[in-house]
Amino acid sequence: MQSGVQQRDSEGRPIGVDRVVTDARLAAAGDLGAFERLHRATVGRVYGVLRRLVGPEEAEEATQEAYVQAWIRLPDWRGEARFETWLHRVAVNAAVRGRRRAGIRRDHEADHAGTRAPVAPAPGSDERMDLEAALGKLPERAAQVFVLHDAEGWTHAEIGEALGVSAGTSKSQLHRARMLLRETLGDRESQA
Amino acid sequence: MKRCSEIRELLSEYIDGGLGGGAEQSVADHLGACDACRRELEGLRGLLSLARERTHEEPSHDLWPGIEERILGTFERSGRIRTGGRRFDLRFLAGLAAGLALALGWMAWSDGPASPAPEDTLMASYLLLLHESEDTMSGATPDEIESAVAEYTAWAAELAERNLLESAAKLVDFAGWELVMGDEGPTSRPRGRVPGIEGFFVIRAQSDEQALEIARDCPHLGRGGEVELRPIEH
Repeated sequence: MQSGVQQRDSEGRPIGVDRVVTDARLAAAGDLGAFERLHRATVGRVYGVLRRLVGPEEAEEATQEAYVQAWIRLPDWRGEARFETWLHRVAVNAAVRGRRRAGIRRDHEADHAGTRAPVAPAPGSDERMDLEAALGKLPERAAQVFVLHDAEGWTHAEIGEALGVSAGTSKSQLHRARMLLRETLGDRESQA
Repeated sequence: MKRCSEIRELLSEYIDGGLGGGAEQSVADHLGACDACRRELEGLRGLLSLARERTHEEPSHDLWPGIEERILGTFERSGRIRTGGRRFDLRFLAGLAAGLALALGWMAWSDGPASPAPEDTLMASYLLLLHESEDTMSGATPDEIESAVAEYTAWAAELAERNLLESAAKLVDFAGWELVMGDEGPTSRPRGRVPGIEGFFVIRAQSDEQALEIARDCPHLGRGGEVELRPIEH
């Protein structure tokens, strides 16, 4: 819908007019049934990224909050970004805000050092399970930057904006995360 | 030549292509000569491809009921909700403009906008003609038609909210007449099944560019139809 030129794929179907876009426009106009279809079509990826970001214990709550925020903000979606990209941004921002609030509470309780609850094994390859477990041991900020940059493909500028840090900090946290993950996962390789 | 520990500090940025210049060259030189650092680079690449593996994962239970409950709570406060897409007449876009006028408190044609925006005087009107193509909606199920109409409605509702929509209508399919002036005066004949004009929107815009931008987003384009944009002379 972004271009006035009608583009078609190799089988002659119009490009960019998928079910998700249609449902997003309907939901933006207040159609809750369309929003439920959107949720079902996208929840696997949203839950997947939030699970890595906030850990398995809080992932379901974060996912629900993400969709409530998406519903509220949908009228702002103008189709300038792919719907899924926009949705992930909303989800991540909501999760980071939620973590910040939780972090403040935890600081008061002084029982937390900034890492997340350990990640229980997720379904998938052994390697992926190792990665998820290793992510759970990282300092939270480093883990967030790694997930957003290396799994989600965000730029350091985008990450900096979402996490409230400079692009330079995002870069150095990424380096730190990769080195720590290599250490952890490399150890397992050599044990195997 | 740099030592391995120094090189490894640079590998992360090297892999992202962020080093540039001499630093990049010295890492490349070192990698050419050092198996251990090359293995480290491969390990790093493996980590990144692992991270990029699709992280599709279903929650342990259906999250929708909880989401719906919270949204319905939001609705109590905001009033923005419409279940089933039935706030406007879904069968005919002919009902669209009137529906919008009612829904948004904006009397499109009788009294003009209830509260004209200051920039109104700079606005020009444009006619968006929706040309049908052979396959625009042929073979569509009632559900597909309903969803298509709701898509146009959502698009138009956004325009109306921005005070850029003057009127809109869907023409009746497969009906109408063609009139021509013959030797013995005007003659008319039923319009046959030929691709024609399905409907129109009259929009307002501050410039041709803005009008084009609006027209580019018209759902009609995404459905295989064509859109003609014509400035209306004042």
